[in-house]
Amino acid sequence: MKIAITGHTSGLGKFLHQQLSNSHSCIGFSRTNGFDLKADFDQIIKQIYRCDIFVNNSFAMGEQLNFLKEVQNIPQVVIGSIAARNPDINMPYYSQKKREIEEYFLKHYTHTHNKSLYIQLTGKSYQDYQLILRSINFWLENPQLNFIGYRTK
Amino acid sequence: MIVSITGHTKGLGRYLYDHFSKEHTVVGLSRTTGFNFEKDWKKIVDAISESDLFINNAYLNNNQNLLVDEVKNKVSKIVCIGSQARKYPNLVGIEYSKNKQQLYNMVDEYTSLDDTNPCLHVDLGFMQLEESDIDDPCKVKSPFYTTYKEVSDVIDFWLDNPKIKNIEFETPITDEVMIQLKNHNPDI
Repeated sequence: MKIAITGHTSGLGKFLHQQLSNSHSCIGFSRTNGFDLKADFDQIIKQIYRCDIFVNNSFAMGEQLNFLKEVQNIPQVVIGSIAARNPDINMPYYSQKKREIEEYFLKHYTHTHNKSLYIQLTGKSYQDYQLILRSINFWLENPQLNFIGYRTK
Repeated sequence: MIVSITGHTKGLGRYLYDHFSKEHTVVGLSRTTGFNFEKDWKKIVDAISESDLFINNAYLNNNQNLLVDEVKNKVSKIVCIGSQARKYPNLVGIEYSKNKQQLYNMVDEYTSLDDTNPCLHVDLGFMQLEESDIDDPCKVKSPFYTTYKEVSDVIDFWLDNPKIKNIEFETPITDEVMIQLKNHNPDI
């Protein structure tokens, strides 16, 4: 399968890109490989549409929401955050945008047949990259799954 | 391990009962086998407390919620069978949605505490139908339904990944589903 992923050069995105590349053809979009998620939005969207799955990973100062809205016709994995429900007072903009992302997903991707997955990261699960990878692989086999959330502690 | 399950004589409950019976001892708790929510509450709680995994499946008013509250610290693993209907009170009946939302909230709160046992909440979409349900006008026939096997796969996956606390299935409300819902509830 051909998988597109944003923010593939650091953190979770880097790990997923590396691991998913073992059995899929992965194409990554990050500033470090010449893609500005804001300035090059249209060009990236065109390339995403040539893929089978889009891992909407990078927050990119809220640009993640625009990718969620724009990519309607191929299955997405959206990396969400518990900050959407429990706002982090140190990061009000991040919390607010993550909330808009979760609300948009629940409003448009749950009662439709989009075969998309929302991953709600909480607490320690942020660091448990293997668990997130297992979750995505499980969803690839069970595309009717729509939402996976983790324990806070 | 010992698995206990409510509502094991039909539908999803029966499938899960058979599925876990392949490798585990399963205790089925249903009215037809002598466990009535109203008359045999203590007997039910005792049976669940002696198991390692409790599958909280049968829906009867708010009994699912009362049960999870009562056994949550007495059994090492719990799976609560919830429903996406909790998000759509106007489509499926307010009482049902309310009870299912409350169940979700209880699991959410319980799993947010320190040192609690693994607990999974599963939101089902429209369900696979039994042959006997095909002509039942009250059952929603969706082209995109959750199968029993998908639910057992989810529980197996969670047993290996107990840090997960909730898994939800998509619930496409297509035009044909909407027509059926409107037939059930003209106020929509």
